[in-house]
Order: sequence, then structure tokens, then C-alpha cells
Amino acid sequence: MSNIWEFLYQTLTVSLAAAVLLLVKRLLRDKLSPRWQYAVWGVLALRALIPAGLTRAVVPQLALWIETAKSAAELGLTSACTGPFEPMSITAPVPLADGLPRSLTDWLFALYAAGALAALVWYAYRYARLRALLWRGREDGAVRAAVDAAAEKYGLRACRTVSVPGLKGAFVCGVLRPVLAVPEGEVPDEKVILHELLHLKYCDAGQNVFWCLLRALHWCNPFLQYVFNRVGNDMEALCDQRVLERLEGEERREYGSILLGMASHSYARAPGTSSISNGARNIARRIEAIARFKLYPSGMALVSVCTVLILASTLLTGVRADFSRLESYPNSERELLTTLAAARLERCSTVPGALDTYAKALVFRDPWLYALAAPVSGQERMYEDMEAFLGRWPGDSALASVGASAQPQVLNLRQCEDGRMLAELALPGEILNVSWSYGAVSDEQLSQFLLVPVEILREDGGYAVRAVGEEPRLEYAQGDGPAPEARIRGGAGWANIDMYFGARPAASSAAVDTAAGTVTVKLYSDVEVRQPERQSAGLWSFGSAYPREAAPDAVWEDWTCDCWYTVELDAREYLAGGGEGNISVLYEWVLDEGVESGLPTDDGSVSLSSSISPEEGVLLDWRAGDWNRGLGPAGLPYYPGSIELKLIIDGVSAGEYTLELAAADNAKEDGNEP
Amino acid sequence: MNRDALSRALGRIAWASVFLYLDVNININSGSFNLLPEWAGYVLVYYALTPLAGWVRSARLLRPLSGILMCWTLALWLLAMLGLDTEGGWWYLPAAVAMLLELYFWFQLLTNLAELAALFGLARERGLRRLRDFSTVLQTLMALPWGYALPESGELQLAIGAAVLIVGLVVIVWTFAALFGLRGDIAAAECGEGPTDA
Repeated sequence: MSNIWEFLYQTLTVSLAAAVLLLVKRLLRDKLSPRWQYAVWGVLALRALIPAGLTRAVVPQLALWIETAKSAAELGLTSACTGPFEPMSITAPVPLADGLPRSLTDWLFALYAAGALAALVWYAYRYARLRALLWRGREDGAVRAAVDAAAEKYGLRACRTVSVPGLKGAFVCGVLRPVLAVPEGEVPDEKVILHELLHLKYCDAGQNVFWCLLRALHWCNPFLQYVFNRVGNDMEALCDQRVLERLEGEERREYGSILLGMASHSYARAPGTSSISNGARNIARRIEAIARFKLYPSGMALVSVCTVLILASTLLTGVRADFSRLESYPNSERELLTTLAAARLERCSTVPGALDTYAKALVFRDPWLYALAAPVSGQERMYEDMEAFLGRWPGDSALASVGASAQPQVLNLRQCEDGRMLAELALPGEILNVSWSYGAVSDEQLSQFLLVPVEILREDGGYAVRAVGEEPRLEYAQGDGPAPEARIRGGAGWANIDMYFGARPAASSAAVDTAAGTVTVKLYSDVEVRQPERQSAGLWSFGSAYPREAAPDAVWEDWTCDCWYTVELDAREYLAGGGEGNISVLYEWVLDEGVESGLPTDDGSVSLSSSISPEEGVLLDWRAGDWNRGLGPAGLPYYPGSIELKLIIDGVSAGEYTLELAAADNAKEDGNEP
Repeated sequence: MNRDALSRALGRIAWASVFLYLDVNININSGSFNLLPEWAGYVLVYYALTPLAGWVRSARLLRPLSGILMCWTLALWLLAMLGLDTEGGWWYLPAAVAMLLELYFWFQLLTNLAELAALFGLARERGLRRLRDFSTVLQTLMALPWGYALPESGELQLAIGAAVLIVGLVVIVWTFAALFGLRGDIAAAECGEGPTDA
């Protein structure tokens, strides 16, 4: 926890878990034994130890409220601990400040951290004082004998015993070197000694230290302080249960009477101790539990374990956030902040999901989808450019108002040498030519695709996408007619990606000059999200991107990846210079070890007979590569790194070449630097 | 104790399982109408618990739970009719608590029925306990978040789904056979040992 908002989220998450546990315990209090009643607090311990940011929220709206409140509050501040659009990132359940306080929220966090530290110091002081008091106690032979006798009778381990003046009841103090302290001048009842020895056996003093640490961490949360009191009482009730299991008929009644006699004792909590007397109200609850000792249904062990497992899985894993009912087009600053906050909490969890969501955001200019797919670091710009994002996006910027049956494709998903993941989004002209953008797409472009080079970024909890170069958007210009003409600005131009591979960008490429001309080899890939209406936040084909019935989480099994390659020999100069003969280029792909070629796609040839080029002198071969059949969920498409070429003229070898293919940076080639 | 009342109570519990395990939905506008609502099953169980508690005392502890589960399933039934979504978000925690109570409820009810079978000296006791343990473990396994552990393989998930479906059908048939069979056995049994405090 590094700021007050993260503490708020952590403590409220723990509180919610505690509230659920209290409710379930209340409903099952007469059905499941004190053993279960205490064991179930183990779930709370885990919930308190696991940072809330590492798991999904148990109530996603809670995280949304806190994120939105944080944005609204931090906008006017210059906090050192957080920023208005910085996502919560709780990595530890303890306060960890990374700067000096500069704002009100920073000071509040500093106050919280100081309080937690003070609580720890106070507990340590209390413990040290108690140990000092026990140090002054003396060993009493009669007490020692009684403790030894009880330990032997019940098969328990005894510990050092001291008689201390002024004590009202017996208790065990210490974890590593425990001491049983009893009031001076009295020999405790055997059942009281049994109770304390059972505390010793189950190391309850150590557990008490742990709960005190949690108390200190949540010192300013009164509900959790109440819950921790209940935890302590359940620990005592469990110890009572263990005592009763070792006693017989009349002794059990006597034990209840002893507890009743302690109801008026004052009780001061100290860490590292466990006392049979823990306050009047708590003892009343323990008496109730004792009265039910024989009434709990028997044979409930299996269901006890199963209920704890279900509670743990419910409260420790949480539920996926679903903010699909949020207003898509925010109408106010507050709504925009909520939209941005939701996008910070729910990231696109796969690469195809992020790309498809970004494509929808571009086409429909949907702020929610845009914030969802865009990097979190871009949220500040979105907020500053608020006017463009408030209100239903005007027709002068959305590329389309309604969808069509076609859907975008992702071209050349690849990783560059600098580690960046790049791709080209191909938006079909068919989609863009609808409604208010009618006229912005020419008849020729209707069957083509608008290319948008994009970069995919890994972010905490998911992936983000941003355009490399200018994002496409619709704009109007006054033409010859009376009405303004719509046209699409930005992007990297139009391409017919279905037929002519030479006209579209490649994932990787290489070229070499040979005696017959330049040989160019290019690799391409197409990624298509299947059933996008059930993934990536909405529909393409039903009127518009709404309703958003799906989360932006296209799983890898639900998309296809096809690879293609072209081998091209430009022999025009050779032929123009008087070169003659039958020219062929034999090629063979060099695949990495372990890559299966599948279809016979790793070799072939370019020759005059196989040329499909309309241009005389250019020999072109294109084929599908079958190298990505085993593409794993965390992988990128595989592209072979090199190819071996052999130039043959009139049946005689005219040269052999090995080409190393390099990832193509199409954006740079097009002059669109990021 | 009244054997006829007990027999009727067991009949109610057996028919309650039909309401709880089977769904017959009719789509109306945007919602769906379940002809075999679960809440009706809990109503039947609620009225069966008093006669059952005359023989197995701890069965009375289930009355508050059956009331809560009846209200919960009634609310879900009404919301489903209105076509309102009750998954995820705010519904996550209440649904999880309800599932947990349901798990406990059926575990104890089957335990009580097994104790009743033991009172009458029926061999069905062991079968009831086996059914109880099996269905409890199955429900728990299905409630755990396996999505974190399982690979994202569509084929594997399909296979697991098919296996769960088959096992679920077996449990349903097993439950019907056990509960209706217990009613018949008790009606035919000559005499029990009398109520138990268990």
C-alpha cells in the first residue's frame, strides 16, 4: 500500500470479507462447532495478507468507486504518493511510502502509517511490561505441582509457572519461552490449568501476536477491530471446546461455573498472551457455545472443510469486473472520470482482445472502449481533451455510426528487435462507408482496407494498443457542392489485402541483389478474432458496438492466425540489359528447431512459368506458410528467420544466397514515426 | 411418533428434490418462467422438517436455513421472470453465501435422513451417506475457481463440461432413487427404534 486510496481499498476489501464471514458464522453458529467457527477466520487472515490488488475484487463496484474518488480528489492535488490517473497497485498489505508528503492525501497516508507504527510500538511496550511483571513473579511449589499433575493427566506439555501478585486470572504469556502466570497465593482449578495448557499446545499466544499485527495494520477501522475481538473470542471458545472434550459430565458443568465466575473480571488485551478470562460480553458468548456442546449435529467434518474451501475461493479470488452498464458516452466530467477509472480496473487481457477493442474504439469513437484499449498513461490526455470525449461523439470524428458484417483484421502481429509488439489494423471500407461517413469512402476503397499501424504494450494486468502515427478520424471539408464533404484523415493508406500481397505491409522481409536482379522475400500474417460479437467488448455486426455483452478478453483459442510469404525476383533490368535464358529461383526456408512445417511450405521456386505478376520481368511466388499450428496462448506468430536461395539460369547455378529476414517496421517505412 | 406424518414428510422431501434439480423453463418476453421453481422445493422441505425433527432432533436446525433459501430462490425466480441478470457484480457475494448454505443444508438433511434410516435398521443408510459425501464434494469442486489452473484449451474444457454433465445426471438420478426409495422403505418398515437426540 503506497497511498491512502490503496489502504482504503485494502481495508474495505478485508472488511467485506469479514462481514461475509460474520454473516455465515451467524447463520451456522448452532450447526457447526467452535472448531469450524475459529478455523473460518483463517480465510480472513489470508484475505488480510494478500494485497487486494493481486486478486479480483469481491465487489468490483467498490474498486470503481475508490478509483473514481481518487481521480476526482487527486486532480486538484500534487500528491507524491499517487496521481489522478495512476491505477491502484497494491503489492504489499503493509504501508510502503515512496516519497515525502506533499498533499492532503499524502499526509493522511502518513498519519495512517504513523498510527500503524504507533500501534505496533504500543503492543510491544505492553508485552515488554508484562514480561517485566512476570520476571518479578516467583515460582510456587504448590502451583507447579498442580500444573505438572494436570499436564500428566491430560498428556499435555507444561511450561514455567510463576505466581504474580495482583493478577485476577491465569494466562499464558510468550511464544518462544511461554510462561503460565497465576495470581499469587492461589492454586488454580485443574480445569483452568487445562485450559491454559491447551492454549500452550495449540500455540494460541503466537496466533494472538499475528492477530495483533493485523489489528495494528487496520488500527483506524473500527469494524475490523470489532472483528478481531470476535476472532479472539472464538479462539477462547475453541479452547473451551477442547477442554470440554477432555472433561466428563459434572466437570463440564463446573467448568461453565468457573467461566461464569470470571464474567466480572476486567480484561486487558496484550499481544502474545492468551487468557481464560476475556471480558464479560465475550464470556457470555462462550457460555452459549458451551451450552450447545452436545447439540451440534454430528458427522459434519466433510461439510465443514467444504464450506471453508468455498468461502476461501469466494473471498480470495473475487469476481471479474463487469462495467458494461456504464454510460458509453460520458456526459459530464464525473462520468468521464468513472469511465476512465473503469478502464484502469478492467484491462484487455489478451493481444487479439486488445486489438479488436481498439479497432471498435476507432471506428465508433467510443470513449469507454478507447480508454479500455489505450495505455493507462494516455488517460491524462483523454481527460485534458475532455471536450472531445464528453457527450455523444459528434459525427465529425467517428468513422462509422453503425456496424456491418465485415470485421477488421490484424496484419503482421510481430515483435521487433527493440522488443516492441507491432501490427497493422486493417479496417474494412465496407464498415467505414455507413451512415454519416457516407461518401468518405470511394467505390474502389469499399473493397479495400484502411491500414492503421499500431503498437501493443504490455501493462500490468493486460495489454494496451496505440496507433503509431496519426489515428484515423473523420473530418469534413468544404467541397464543390453546398454540403461539406466527409473524408478520412490519418492511418497509413488503403490496401487490398485479400489479393495482392505486394500491396500490403509485411511482418518481416529481406532482399538480395543477384545476377538476374533483386530477390525480395516478405512474410505476412493475418489474425482474425473469431466470434467477436462474443468477445472484445461488443458486436461488429448488429447495428453498432452495443450492447457490450462481452468482456474485452478474446481468448487465444478463439482467433485464427494465417501466415503467408512472397518471393519476388525483379529481372526487368537484367532482361532490358540483354540478359537471356530461363531464370529460376529455388528457395528453402530455414526453420528453427522444433518448428513443424506441416504442409510442404518450406521450399519452392520462382520461375518464368510460375510468375503471376502482370509485369513482365517480375517473377512472383506466394504461398501459405503452415508454421503456426501449435501457437500457444502466450506466444506470437512464428516467422522463419532466414531463407536459402539458389539462382539458376538455363539450368546452371548462377549463385547461392542465405537471407536473414528482419522484422519490418512498416510505420517507419511509411514515415509515420510514433 | 406419527409414522404417517413421517412418511408424508419424506415424500415432500423427495418431491422437493425434483423441484430443486429439474428446471422446465418457458421463455416469456425477455425473461424465463421456471415451471419447477426451486423455492417450491424449499417450501416442501420446510413443512417436512417438523415431522422429521420428531425422529431426528437436529433436523429442526434446518428450518431457518430452508426459509432463507426459499426467499433467495424466490427472489431469483422473480428476477429471472423479469429478465434481470443475477450474475456477477453485486450478486457475487450473496450467490456465494446462498450456495454455501445450500451445500450445508443438503449435507445435514441427508445426514439426518441417513440417521433416520439407521433408526429403522435400513441398509439404505450407507447409500445415503455415500450420496451425501459424493454430491458435497462434487458441488465443492465445481465451486472452486478452476479457471486459474486449467489450460485455456477449448477441447479440454469441453471434455470437462461433458464429464460434469454426466456426473451431474448420475447424481440427480441417484438422489431421486435414494429419496423416493427411503420413503418406500420407511413406509414398509415395521418399526423404528424411536427418536434420536443426535
